[in-house]
Amino acid sequence: MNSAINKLMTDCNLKLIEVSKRYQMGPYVISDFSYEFETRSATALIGPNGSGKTTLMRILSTAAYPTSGKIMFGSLNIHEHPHQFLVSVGVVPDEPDLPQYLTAIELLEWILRSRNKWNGQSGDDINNLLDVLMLDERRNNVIGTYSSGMLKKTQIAVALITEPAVLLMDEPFRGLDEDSRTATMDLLIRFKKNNGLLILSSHMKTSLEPLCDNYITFPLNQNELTANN
Amino acid sequence: MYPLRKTKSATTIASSFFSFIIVIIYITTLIHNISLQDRFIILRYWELILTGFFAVIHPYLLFPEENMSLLQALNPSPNELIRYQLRNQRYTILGITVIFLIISFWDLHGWQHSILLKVQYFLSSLLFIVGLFSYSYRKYISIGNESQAYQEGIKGERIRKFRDETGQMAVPIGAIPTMQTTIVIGIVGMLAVVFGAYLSNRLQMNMEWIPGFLLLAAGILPFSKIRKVFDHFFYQTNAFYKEYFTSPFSGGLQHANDYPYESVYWVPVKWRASTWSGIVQLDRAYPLGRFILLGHLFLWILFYHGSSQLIINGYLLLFIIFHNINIYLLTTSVMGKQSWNYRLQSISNWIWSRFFIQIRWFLPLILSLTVVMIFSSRFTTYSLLSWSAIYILSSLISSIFFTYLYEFRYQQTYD
Repeated sequence: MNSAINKLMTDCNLKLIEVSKRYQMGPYVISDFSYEFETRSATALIGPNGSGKTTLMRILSTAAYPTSGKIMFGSLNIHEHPHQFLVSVGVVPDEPDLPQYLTAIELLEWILRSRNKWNGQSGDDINNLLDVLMLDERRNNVIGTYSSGMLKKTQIAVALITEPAVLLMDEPFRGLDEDSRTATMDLLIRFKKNNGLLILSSHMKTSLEPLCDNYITFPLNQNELTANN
Repeated sequence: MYPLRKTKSATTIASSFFSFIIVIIYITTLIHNISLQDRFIILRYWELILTGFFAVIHPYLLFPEENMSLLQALNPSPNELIRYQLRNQRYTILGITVIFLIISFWDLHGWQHSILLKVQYFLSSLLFIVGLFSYSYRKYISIGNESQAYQEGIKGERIRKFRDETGQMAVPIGAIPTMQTTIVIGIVGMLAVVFGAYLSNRLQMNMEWIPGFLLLAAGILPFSKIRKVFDHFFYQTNAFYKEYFTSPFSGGLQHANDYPYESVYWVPVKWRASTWSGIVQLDRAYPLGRFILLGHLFLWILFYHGSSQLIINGYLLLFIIFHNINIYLLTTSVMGKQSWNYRLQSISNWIWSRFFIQIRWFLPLILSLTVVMIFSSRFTTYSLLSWSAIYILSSLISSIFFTYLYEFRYQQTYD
């Protein structure tokens, strides 16, 4: 059933309809924001700290709910049916909160088995993905011993291993060395070309140019946004 | 989904075990030689205590989910999410079951003495707790939508206006649905205990399973409707509590203004800063004040009811030990990692800071016991002084004990 939903959701755009979000009675961090993220595109959320990038990321990943408005993935309201939406989504959160006593390989196996995607090929797929991400032989060590760069690579692998249609990445290049950054960039470009929908947040616009087609600058201003695209 | 366990520190495990053992020792000394009737009354008291517990604690046990991004990666189905949340609470229910087993069957005359009656009351109490648990869980799991509406100004306009005009509400508006739910569960649970006792006395047979059964039905029947879309309720309620408990923009910020540094003027300067930061963190994170208030109310009920001296002494001992949860909560990494604490001040300074944090509940305790002393001839000045001494001593012991488990062990490992 999951794969049927996944197939159905492929080629679906992610459409924000008048989405607003505020914390308590504070000012609106996002106000009546409408936008359509398309497949085969990569969009960067750019802006200073505290401008609302992570809030939008959290809303898109269903970890936060909007004050008003809705987000449609095809015909699916993502906040009404988070489980169905997450079938098609890979998330790289800003902070790593991975289990400390599993190895990267065991973690990825767990995720594939949990999502009923484990097959005879999966072991090789995991190793291939970790090879591309340049996570070395320490992939067999427990995650609690990883450096910040290795944690980030593991997070990216967690998001990609299920071959999602949508990828949401908060600061995906933070902590990566130059070679790993290039390898990850290539991987994401391939993801986009294969019908992927990528949304990422970053402080650095310049380094994203080979990858991103659209940029949304925070704090949000709906009028400028239209002009940017 | 494979079992996803919440990681627990050595302090958590040790203190939970320690507290549980104390409760068990207390219960076994209390009930080994009492009549059947008293045994059933004690079961009812425990039902009342646990009503208060489940009325308040559920959101704190369940939310915010600490493995959220991993859960997103695993993406469990609605049924698996339900199983996951229930599995994380199994030790709570297991602990309660053990307590009920001991109260029902730990008997000097042999556990098999009046066995049928004991089994009946044990099962009734267990049914009551399972029913209350289901009812409370059902209420809290679906609270996210309403709470967010209050928190973000969609609802609660009149309450907000009242607060702005009078300045008399310290509670964040987003907490209103949680408080309402706490009150409803508390009242329903207490009425259910009273109703069960009334029925049994009236009909001269054990009918205490009826309220438990009704609570279970009230919890499970509506649950069957939301089961298929449980993921929606889980994610939304988690999103609300995540913002409520941890976001710098949410309710927590308001609380910060409630505790100016000057309010701990009574603490010696040397330990004032860490005492103040500890109190601020504790009160933002946990509703301890509500628990302590419930504890005092229950103490007054015990006296009003004319409970035996043994029950009152036992309860006071447990209540005082419960106060020490303050210190345990402070020795967890969310309140300050060991390395941070260790560098901030010496181990002996942490012991004294925690002692003073604990001492802040001393005055309410003295006032409460003074009220009891005024209205009850059974509680004398000597009792008041004795319990005060026990409180101070237990505060000092638990400060030393938990600091030993936390900072001292860190020092042993890394220095």
